[in-house]
Formats: sequence, C-alpha cells, structure tokens
Amino acid sequence: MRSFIIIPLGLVALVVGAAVWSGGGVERRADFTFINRGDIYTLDLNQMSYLQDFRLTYGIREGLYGLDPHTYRPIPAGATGYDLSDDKRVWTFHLRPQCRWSNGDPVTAGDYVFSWRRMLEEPGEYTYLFYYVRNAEKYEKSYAANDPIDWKTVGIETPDPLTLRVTLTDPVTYLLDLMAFPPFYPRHEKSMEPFKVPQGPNGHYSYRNEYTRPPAVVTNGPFELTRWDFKRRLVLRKSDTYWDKANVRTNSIEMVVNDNPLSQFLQYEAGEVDWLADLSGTDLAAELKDKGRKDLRVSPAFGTAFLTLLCSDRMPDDLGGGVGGIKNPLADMRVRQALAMSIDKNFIVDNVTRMGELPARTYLPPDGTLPLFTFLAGPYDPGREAGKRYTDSEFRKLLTSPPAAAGPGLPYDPAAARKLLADAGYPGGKGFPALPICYNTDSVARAKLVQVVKNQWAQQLNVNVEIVPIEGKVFRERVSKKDYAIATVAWYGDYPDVATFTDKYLSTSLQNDCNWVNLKFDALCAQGAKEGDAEKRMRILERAEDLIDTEVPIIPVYHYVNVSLNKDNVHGVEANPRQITVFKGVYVDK
Amino acid sequence: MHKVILYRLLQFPLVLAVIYLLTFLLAWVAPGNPFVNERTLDPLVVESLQKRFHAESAAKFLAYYPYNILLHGDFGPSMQYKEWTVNDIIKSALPISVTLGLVAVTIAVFVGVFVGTLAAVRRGGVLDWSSLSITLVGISLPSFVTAAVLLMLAAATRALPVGGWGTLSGMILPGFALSLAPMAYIARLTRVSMLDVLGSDYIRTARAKGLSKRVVVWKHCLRNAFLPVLSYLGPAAATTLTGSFVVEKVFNIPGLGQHFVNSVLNRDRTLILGVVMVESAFLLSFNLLVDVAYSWLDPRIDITAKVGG
Amino acid sequence: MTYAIEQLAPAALRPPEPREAPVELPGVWGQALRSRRVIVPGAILLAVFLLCSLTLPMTLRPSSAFYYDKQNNNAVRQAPKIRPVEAWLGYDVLGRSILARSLLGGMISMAVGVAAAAISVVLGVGVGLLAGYRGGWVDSLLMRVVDILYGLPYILLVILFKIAFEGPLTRWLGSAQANLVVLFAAIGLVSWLTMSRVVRGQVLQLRGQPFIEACRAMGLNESRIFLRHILPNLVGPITVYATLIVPSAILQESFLSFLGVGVNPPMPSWGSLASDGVAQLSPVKFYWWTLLFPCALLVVTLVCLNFIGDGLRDVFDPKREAAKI
Repeated sequence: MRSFIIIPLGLVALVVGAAVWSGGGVERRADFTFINRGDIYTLDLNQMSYLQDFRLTYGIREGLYGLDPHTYRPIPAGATGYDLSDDKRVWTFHLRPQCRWSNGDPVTAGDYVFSWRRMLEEPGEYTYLFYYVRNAEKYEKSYAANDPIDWKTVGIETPDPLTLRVTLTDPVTYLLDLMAFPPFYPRHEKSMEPFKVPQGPNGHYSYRNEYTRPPAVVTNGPFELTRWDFKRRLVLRKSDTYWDKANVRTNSIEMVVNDNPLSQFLQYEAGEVDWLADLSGTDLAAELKDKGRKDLRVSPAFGTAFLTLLCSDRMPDDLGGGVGGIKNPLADMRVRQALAMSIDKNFIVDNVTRMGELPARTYLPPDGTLPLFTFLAGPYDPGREAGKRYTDSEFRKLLTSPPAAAGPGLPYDPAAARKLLADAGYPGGKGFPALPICYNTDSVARAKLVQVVKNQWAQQLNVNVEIVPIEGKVFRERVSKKDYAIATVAWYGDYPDVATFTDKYLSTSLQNDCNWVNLKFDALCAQGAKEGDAEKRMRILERAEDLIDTEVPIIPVYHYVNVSLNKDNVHGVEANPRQITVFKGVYVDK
Repeated sequence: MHKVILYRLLQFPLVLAVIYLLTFLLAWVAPGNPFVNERTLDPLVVESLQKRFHAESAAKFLAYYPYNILLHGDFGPSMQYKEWTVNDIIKSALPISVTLGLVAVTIAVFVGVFVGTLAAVRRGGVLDWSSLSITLVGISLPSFVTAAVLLMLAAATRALPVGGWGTLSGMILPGFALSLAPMAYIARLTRVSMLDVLGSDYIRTARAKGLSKRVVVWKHCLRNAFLPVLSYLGPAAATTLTGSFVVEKVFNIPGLGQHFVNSVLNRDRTLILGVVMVESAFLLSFNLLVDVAYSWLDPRIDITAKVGG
Repeated sequence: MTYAIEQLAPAALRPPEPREAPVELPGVWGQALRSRRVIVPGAILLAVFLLCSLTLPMTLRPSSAFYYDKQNNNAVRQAPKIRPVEAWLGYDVLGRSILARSLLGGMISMAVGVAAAAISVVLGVGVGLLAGYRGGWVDSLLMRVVDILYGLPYILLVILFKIAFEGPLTRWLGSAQANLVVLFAAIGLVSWLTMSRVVRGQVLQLRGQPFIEACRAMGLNESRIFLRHILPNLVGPITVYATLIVPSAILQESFLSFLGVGVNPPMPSWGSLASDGVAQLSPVKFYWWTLLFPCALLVVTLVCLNFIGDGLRDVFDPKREAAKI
C-alpha cells in the first residue's frame, strides 16, 4: 500500500513543481494596458504588413514625419522641415539634430539610407512604395540579378549627416504621408550587425529577425521595447533619449496578447486592460452595440470588403467542381453587373455584420479620409449624362438610406439584374455553371457573408454557386495565383490617397488578382501619377475609380468600421480610419 | 529487465527519425506557402524569404535542418513567428503545457478512479448509471463547448480569473476543462477492471476471511485494478501534457497545444517538426515509463515476454 | 489532443478474454440484446436515427419550410416559439430553423461516425489479422508502423488528405458529396489504430489456446479453424470497439468543424452547429437555443453509443458477471 500511494502523491508534487517552473510572474501593472488586433507577426520593417505590427511600430520607432494625434496629418518628427524643388521632384529633408537612438547615438541621414537600401536589397511587401524614387526599382531588380547598378544613381543622397535629399521620378503629392509610414523609417546599423547572415556567394546578406527583440533592439521612437514574452505580452517604456519626451504622457505601456475575442472582452470587463483596440468582425461587438454600451467606439475604417471575380476568358484548368477550363461567364461585364445588382447589401450590414457599416457601391470608401474626392454618378443614375458628382459626405448620407437607384456605382435592382443576365445568354439562370465561391476559414464573418450571397443569387437570379472553404495560407496563395472563380477578400488603404486603392487594379500590378485588364483605366492612372496639381489629379482618378465601379471586376459589399472598447478615462486612442495610434498622446486618468 | 529498457531506449532515435521524415514529407507536400501574407508577394520577395529559411527545395531543407538538430539541438527559426526560433517557442510554451497537463491528469486520476470504483462496487444501481453519465458528458460534448461554458461560468461568477496564465487560481478551470476527457476514460477503465478484480477468487477469499468491504475494495482491489489505468495514463499524459488546442485557445493560455494546430494551418514547417518531435519524445518516454511501472507494480507481469507466446 | 483517447491504450491493456469452448453465437448476441445496458440506450438511439432519417425528404427539399438552408430574413436569431413547427428550436444567425438543421446535421454526423467506423474496421481488422497470423517480422513491422502513426500530428494528416483528394473528387461527385466522402476517409484513416492492436492481441491469444491446438491435431485445415473458431471470437471485441469508434469520430468531426475544415457550409452537422453556437456565446446576450439543442442531441446520442459499447463489452466477457461483492 505504501508503494501505491506514491502515485497520487507524486502527481501532486509534480504539479507544484511544474507550477513554479512555468513562472508567470505578476509584475506591477503598466500605466496603459491594451490588447492589440492580434499577436505581433513581425517587427522587422522589411517584412511588416499587418495592422497590429504597424500600430506597435508607431510607438517605438519614428520616421522623418510623424502624425498629429488629432488630425492624423503628417507633422515634422525626425525632420524639422523640407525644401521642395520647382518641378516637385526633389525633396530635401532637414533632420532634427536632437534625435537620438535609444542607446544614445544620434540619428543621422545615413541611418535612413541604410534602412531604405535594405528595403531594396531584401525586398518586402512595401518595397513597391520606393519605386517613386528615381532608379530605385532598377536598383532592386539589378541587385537581385547580381549585377547592381551604381548606388549613386539612385535618387537618395546625403550631402551631410543631417540632410536627406530624395529625387523622385514623378511628383508625389502625398510623400509626407509616406514618410510617416514605417517602411520609410531609419534603422540603426551597428546594433543589427551581430545578426547579419550572408545569403549565398554573391555578397547578398540578410539580418536575422531577432534584432527587433530586446535587449538588442535599438529604436528611436517615444517608447523603448523593454520586454517581449512570446504570445503573452510586450512591454514598452518611455524612452529617455527621445527628443520630444516632455510630451510623452505615459511612462509604461503593455500590450497583452490575446487572440480570442470573448476572452479579450472578459479581461476588459475584469479591468485587466484599458483598451481593446480591435473588436471588428465579431458578433460580440454587435451585441454590445445593440445593448447601447457607451464605451464601444465605432467609426469608419479606410477599407472595403468585396467579392473578387475572375475576369479571365477561361476558368483555371484545375478548378474543381467540374468547371475547370470552361469558358468563363464572369468575363462578360453584364454577368458581373447582374451579380452585383442582386446582392442586398443592406440585409448584410443589418443582419450579418450589424455594426452600422456602410453598404458599398464603390471600391473606394467614403469615410472622410479623402474629403476632396468626389464620386461620379453611376451608369443607372439619371444625372450621369450631366456629369453629376457626389461629395464624400453626400455619398455617405446616400448610403445610409435604402438602396436607391441613383448614385455612384451600381444600385440594388434584381429586375434589371435578371434582364442583364438574360442579355448575356443565361435567361432565368439557365446554363449558368455552378461556380465555386471561396472564402478564408480564418474569418467567421466571411463564412456568413458567403452563405447569404449564395442564397440571394439563388433566389434572385436562379444562379447556384458552391461554397468552398479554404484555409488561410492556401486561400491567399490561390487568390494571388488567380486559381479561383469568386472569392471574398478585403483591402485597406495604406496611406491617405486614392492610389493605394486604384494601383491594385492596374493590369501590370502584382496585386491585380482578378486579371481585369482595362487599358483606359491604366492610362488614367498613369496620367494621374504624372499630374502635379492635386485637384486636377483627383479629377483624373475619379474617372478611374468610376471605371471599377461600373465594370465591377470586384463587387464591393460593405465598408469596414473600426470597433474598439475603452472607458472615458482613456485618452489618445480615438479612432481614425487608418487604425493608427499615436502612443505619444495616450494616457489614462486614474 | 534492464536489457529491455536499454533496448527500448536505443530504439528511440530510430523511431524519432522516421517520424521526423514522415512529418516532413507530409508538411512539404501540403499545398500552401508559409510566407504568404495579406498581399500578393513579388516572386523576388518570396525567393529571398525561402533562401533565408533554407526552404527553396526539400533537398536544401533536409540538408540543413536535421544536421543542426543533431549537432546543436537547434530546430531553426519559425517561419511564421520570424523573430523567434523554434527552440525559443518550445522553451516558453512547454513548461506551461506541462503544468496544465499535470493539473488535468491529477484531477482526472483522482475523480475518475473514485467514480469508477463506486460504479463498479454499486454495479447496476443508480449510482453506477448517474456517476458514469456525468463523466461520460466529458467525452460526449466537444471540448470547445465544455471549455467555453466553463469560461462563461467563471466570468459570470467572477470567482476565478478569466484566462491568461500566471496565477495558481488561473490553472484550476483550464485544468478541469482539460481533465474531463481523460476523466471519463479513466472512470470507464477503472470500472471495467474493478469488476474484473472483484470477481476474482482471492477477493472472495478476503471477504470470506472477514475483511471489511471498504478495506478490500480500496486497499486490495484498487491496487490491481489500477494497472490498466496506468497503462492508459502513459499516452494520455503525454498528449495532455503537450497541450490541448481548444482549452488553450478558449482560456488564452500560451501553451504548446495551440502550436500543434496553428503551425499546420500556417504551414510553419520548422515549427511543425519541432512540436511533433517534442510530442513523440514525450509519448515514447511515457510509454516506456508506464511499462516499467507496470511490471514494478505487479511482479507477475513480465514485459519481456511476447504477447500471446 | 483530439485522438480518441481510447486509441492510446497500448497493448498492455488486456482485451476481453476469449471463451474456452466453441462459441454459440446466438446465445451471446441474445444475451447482448437482452441486457438493460444495451436495450435502453439502443432504443433511444434508434428513435433519434429514425427521426433524422424520416425527415430527410423535408430537410433536403428547397421548397419545404424545413429546408436546412432556408434563410428567413425576419427570423434572424429568433428564440423558440410554439408555432410554426420549425420554430420549436429557434433560428440561427442567418434565420434558418435550428430544428431542420439539427435533423439533417444528425444524419450527417451519424453518417460520419458509421462510415469512419466501417473504414476503421476494415483497415484495423485487416492489419490486425495480418500481424497476428503472420507473426515474426511482419508483426513487428506493422506494430512499429502503428506506433509511428500514433506519433504523427493528426491535424496535418486530415488537412493533407482533404486538400489532396477533395479537389479531384469534386469533379466526379459534386462538391458536397466529395467533401463528405473525404471527411469519412480522413477520420476513418486515423481511427483504425486501436482496432488493429486489439484484433492482433486477440488473434495471438486465440492461436495459443489449447482448443485450437486440439483442432489442428484433429486435422482441420487453417481456414476452417479461422472461420469456425477464431472469427466468431473476434466478432465480439470488434463490435465493441467499432461501437466506440463512432462517438469518437463524431467528436473529431466537430473539432474539424471548429477549425473550419469540417463539413462545407451551408451543410450542417452537430459539430458545426455546436461550433456556431459557441461562437455566439458572450456575457452580453446568450442565444442559448443555438448552443443547447445541438449539444443536447449530441450528448444523448454519444452517451447512448458509449453505454451500448460498454454493455456489449460486459456481455462478451463472462468474468464480469461474477463480480458481485
């Protein structure tokens, strides 16, 4: 019996021992605790692409320009100002002499050049933004081909350590917003040196991502990253070397990692966190809104959810469901328009997403980010002939009323849709193949959207589609390889300009995953890129946007909203369409 | 005896190597690119990432990683969590999963054995049916349902922390949620083997000799009836220790279980291999431990003999 | 971990002892069917099955009010009501009747369970027989293979299998059917491991029994021995474990639905309904009917199956009869 009792006693002893071993350590609570949109993917500027990564980077790093905490317009940060040449192509930035890295070294123009050159030599998702710079793309491609052109011919120069001269191929009116965007931030070469790894015999090299982790990481922003416990938390501490530290209102910030919306909410309710940065896409948010929670903050986001339709002539050969290789019905614009006009988007935003999103008729969101932009009247708007336009705010108001016939883009009109479908050769939906509609299984909202759309098309047009759930990585690969028929996707704007949306559908763009080729669209975008005057440029790009909204290679469904939770005593986390948080101005009234 | 243990230990590397190769093959063949994010990537970008991770081709992968593992015990960087190496991830997650698993196994053993014994002793009665039904709910409801319901209970009663890891009280609820499935199996096993033992001759003798029922059941029967539970405990403990995806996801616990599933969904090949190796190592060692404990508990059992003769 | 934990018991767990004398099958089965442990759950199970299958014509016909994908725009998230009949269990997030979806979901879940069990039986018995009869290196090799398969990540196998085969199959069978077939096969392929161990153990034990020696001495040939003496003794354990595989397969399907790689929407299964119900769970407003009813059905069915399995196991092992103290 004695020997037998060892088992339960042993178990208990092991439990206690393991509990001690696994640690956990409850420290003093930070001044400001929040839960980000998800876990951090990477803090390496080269590879960054997720919103939550950018949000954190705004707190620990800084570029030539920063963003005003209230208007989110660019304000001088790492630079004190700039000079612009007459042809608007040469920008000379004057660096602020007081800027320091977290280890005390001064921030020099060389740090910017190092970081930008890294973006070209080891391309990342946002390297394409550097193509505005003269010869940057040529340098990148030639470097990859092991025959790099002379770096001096690239339009990035440093006449002295505190001056940075950037020469562009064409004028870019929104360059300051780009300078405020993390891919353009500087990096500290010396501290990254220990992480350098050669990449093959041709002299290429890379840096192991561990350089972004404490204690080795060196940054120049208002906060320093002092601690990163994988999958648990990141801790930021106010930087002593920051030039504007007098205006940094919090001493310590903790980002708690929590992927589960329910668990996030429970932590917030228990008072463990001050701010839930992103609850969008969850049913929980909708329930909170219905209950009238005062601490729920909902505001428009600079992004659109839409269905992308493959516009190639034939379906991909290995597409399943018996439709591989057939003639593509979606290549006909009338079919696409019919599909677009038979989706009741109001039902979707009222019952599926329920957060007061705007049902979408255009690709570009009218959320106030581009107040100068006007939308042209759509093909079924009687005012189209007269050149009627809708301002950003007029359009927003129009979208909150029932789906009227007049307005930009296509209206909700099942009768007209049926006629269009018949004209295209599928009267009453007869003969229309059962196309697969794919969605990403990571998102619950998309699963519901797809089921509603399938139902609506079946009821209104007698068109049947097959629902195909595909998991995340495979889904993105297939969409980018154009191996789909219909898919639910989304797009967010990276910087406050039309180009971040329209550039996607250039026939030469890598991001054009629906294979829509419209030479008039390409010409308009090219013309807009060359236009130096902001107003004239808007007029050109408005016509480009109208082409997308009329020919519907993509069917916009709704415009996203930002949803966050915080009590009134938290300041500085006001929502803005691009989900930027200026941590400098964040503080909690205890 | 010692020869057998040695023999089994020597087999470990071979079995682990085969598991490694098979897992690698499966992970490699699965379509999907670990480096794809929300935007379509330039082929140059993908190429440079693949080069960095030695993942351009199966041959290059196999040429680099196993060598590193054997020589330095280094599984390489994670393809999904680029700032972290697989070793970092396992080192941070394993202690948590182990603790959680131990809590779950302890609860499961205590409650399961108790319920199973009662059910066997009062066979056919109301207690038999009802106690078994309660534990069976643990394996009749999907684990995400029980975990979510328990989380809501915790939130509603505000008695226990609602997730995360760090406090002792934060281990109770997830541990309990994780213990439900093994608890049910242990109860069933205990019941079955207790019935076995209760019907044997020496027990009848003991009762005839006048020993009280309680002593006979708890002291003599249980010791022998526990053996099948023990042999089930081995692999069950191994898999419970290396974490349960659902419990960790619902209670937001940074353990190893989430990596089992997420690494596959992310096609993070290096992490898949690291995590599978850890789990297999646990499984093999626990099986061996259990077999040794088995023969130690019951000297009549000779694990060196072939089954069936 | 989502392996059915039953499968993890190594060979040291003794399967039920075989009978000494040649078996009279009707006697044992008669006893099984008379045992209270089998009858009551069996009746409940039969009732559920009949309910789900007899309503199939209604749940699959698009024009019927019971159609599983009928999205009523004005009944979104509505609580249960007395009238009409399809509102008895309430409506889900898209306005579909939970009653209709639970009935069809039941058919699909039970189909998954039975199909997976069937595949497991075929594979497990085949491998177990081969290992037990051949012995020697074949036995060692097969058992090592089983050990290794235990070590592989289950999710990886299922996902791979789905991806590899679902595409090609849709070309012949149509999307929904291909999805189900692949699901059957994927779950069945990971459930046969314990069955093979059990069968192998039984065969090895039986072969060493004195009465088998006696048959050989009498001159009976191997196949006759197998058919008349060994196979009947295998039927019991096989049935027991097959009955126990069904609930574990249903749970595995629900886990896959939770991950999003189970049955394709809008097709329901109890697991996907439970998963949707859990997604609705929040302290703010609790749509209890979306979670309670599918889970209740699931629990009742699985508990019955487990009891039947236990009851059968009791019957096939005579020693248990004597355990009364």
